[in-house]
Amino acid sequence: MESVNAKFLHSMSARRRVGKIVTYIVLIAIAAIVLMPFFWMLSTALKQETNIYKWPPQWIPHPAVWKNFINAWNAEPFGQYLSNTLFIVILGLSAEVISETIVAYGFARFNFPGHDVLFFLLLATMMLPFHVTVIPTYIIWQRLSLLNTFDPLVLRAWTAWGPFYVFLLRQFFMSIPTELDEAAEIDGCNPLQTFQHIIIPQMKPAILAVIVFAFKGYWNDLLNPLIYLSDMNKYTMNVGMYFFMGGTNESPQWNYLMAMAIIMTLPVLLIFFFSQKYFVEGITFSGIKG
Amino acid sequence: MKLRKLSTAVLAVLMCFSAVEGCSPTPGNGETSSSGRATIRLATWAGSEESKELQKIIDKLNSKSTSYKIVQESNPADYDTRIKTQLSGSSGPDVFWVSAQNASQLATRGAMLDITDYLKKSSNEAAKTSDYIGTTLNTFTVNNKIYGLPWCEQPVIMYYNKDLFDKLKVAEPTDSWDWNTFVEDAKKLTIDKNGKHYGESGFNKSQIVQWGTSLNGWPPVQMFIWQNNGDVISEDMKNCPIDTKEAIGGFKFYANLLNSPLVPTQQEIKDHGFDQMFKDGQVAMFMGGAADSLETQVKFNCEVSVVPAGPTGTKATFGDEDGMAINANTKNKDEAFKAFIDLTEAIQEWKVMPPRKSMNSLTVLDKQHLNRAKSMPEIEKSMSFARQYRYYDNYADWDDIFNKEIMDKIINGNDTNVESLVKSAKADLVSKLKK
Repeated sequence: MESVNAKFLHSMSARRRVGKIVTYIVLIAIAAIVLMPFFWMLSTALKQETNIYKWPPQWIPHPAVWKNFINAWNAEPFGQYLSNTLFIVILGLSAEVISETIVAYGFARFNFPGHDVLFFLLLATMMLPFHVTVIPTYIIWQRLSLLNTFDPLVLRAWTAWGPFYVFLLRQFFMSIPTELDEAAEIDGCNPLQTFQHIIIPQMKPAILAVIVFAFKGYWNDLLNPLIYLSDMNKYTMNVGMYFFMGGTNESPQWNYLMAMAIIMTLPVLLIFFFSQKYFVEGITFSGIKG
Repeated sequence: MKLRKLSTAVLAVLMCFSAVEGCSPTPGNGETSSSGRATIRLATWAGSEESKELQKIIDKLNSKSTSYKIVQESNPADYDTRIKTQLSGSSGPDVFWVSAQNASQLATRGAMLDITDYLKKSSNEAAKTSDYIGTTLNTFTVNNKIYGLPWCEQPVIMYYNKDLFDKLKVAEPTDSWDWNTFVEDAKKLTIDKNGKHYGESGFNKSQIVQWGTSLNGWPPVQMFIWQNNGDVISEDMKNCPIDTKEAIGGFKFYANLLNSPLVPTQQEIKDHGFDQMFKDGQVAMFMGGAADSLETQVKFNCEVSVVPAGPTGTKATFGDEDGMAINANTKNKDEAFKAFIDLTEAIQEWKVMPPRKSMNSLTVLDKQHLNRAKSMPEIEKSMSFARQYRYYDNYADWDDIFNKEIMDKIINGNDTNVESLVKSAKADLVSKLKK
């Protein structure tokens, strides 16, 4: 009987092991497919110009031209572009997180007249294609004489302009029991104090999720800096790297473009890796996927 | 407690920063700067190297001028969206580069300044409208008013790999070559893995390693239709004669050539790069813009010639144009015009080919473009029969239908039933013409 049990257990663990191996093989294959574009980007970034279109394609660049990164960086004033980008990202991101958290708190906790209609209107703005609003928004900033400044890229964030983030935060707020608010009220907290001392500490995962999403949005934004910033010394990294797309008779410099694309990808990857745990929690709790 | 105070302080600083960071206006739109000179903002699609070359030209002009200072605002990213958004907000740059496709639309909608009278009064050589070649000014003319000037016209020319011609004992193109000789040459230059050429017994079309020529929607089919004495939009802009015998002949020649083994498949072109295949010696003849200057970028002997004539000997090539215009809303129109006309003259000297007769003499061109002296006679000949599309306000809509309903199907759908494609698209195309 014992030997039958031992055999059964042995076959179970063998089956589990095989199952695990198969799972890992499938996961590695999927990861390889997902990583393929990134690998190609890195490979192109390290190629000599003459090897970019070589057939059959060179997967491992030979010779690997690491200097492409330095040459690309020095071809345009990317130091200045990076400082402009960070200025916009830091200010915009802070404004966005603060304003959207407050607005989402309002929608989650206060049942004021017109609450549902307002929330519906806010969500409805998500249906408007971005391109429809480009010119009217541009005209507003022009009337405010704020073109060719960073204001259109930063000040707008104080208006809680990201309905998706408001929705995400509101969903998270609603998962926090109202009993906490009531307990705080009994202890003498006003709504602002409750928000600041009781609710916000519970909101870290959701806020972090918004930070990751919004950072990616600001960091990768091309069209807004392109139309609002005219002075070349005010360009952002993303706008600057488009110089490598070529001009009237200038061919694209793909190796430089890819080198800059790698540099641009790194901060987003790092932020995601470091905040992955909270980010996933934030998304899961608010019931929003992707 | 300390942490709370710190976060409040940081928040306050951030709010102040974002509220005041924009309070550093820079002069623009023809406004006068502290130096007393009008600042003229110039928007272009110049790339990394091109913008640096342009800056040198601008620096020279700025050092000479006492009344204006040109400030370059270049970027090739999404140029059309950027410029149209900026102009629609009644703001934008004072002077801007404009493509032939957009010129008519922007002029009709009042975004470009009417410079007809300014040109008459100016003594600058670039302002002499009679000096502009053929129909090059038409692109920038609406209702007999001129809204911009071209600074470069690129006729399509034929770049060919002389080493391959010599190796395969193919006679080099001459002035008299036409569709037939071109196709015959392309056949001899299309080689399979075993060294057999197209038409030779044993030629394996699934193992081609070298192609005669290449097409991928470029050069445009219009060029072949013109060579066959046809057209796609009539001169009075009221009809689309795409179903005439001549036009159908042009479409058919294009479709048959594109779908033959003489041209790489569209997938091969996408994988290897269109002009790159020529640069790598995989394609023997390549039709490119004169300013592409491929002969200066390759390691083999590369020569240029005019594109082949049609079966009746009609010579025609497509001449793509780039131009410059003044924003109708610029605050200082006079200074914007001065900067505009000086810059036009300077850029015309910089780029191939200048659209002006006086600049098209070989002595002038050879001096300006030393490394291309050998190619200049053929480029100059091509200029003499270069033609442009008949642009109008809604040309983009017309072009969209033309490409979707006819060209996409020929190029990507391998559809060679030209008559039926043309028949089904004609009504749509005519409905999009100027009323």
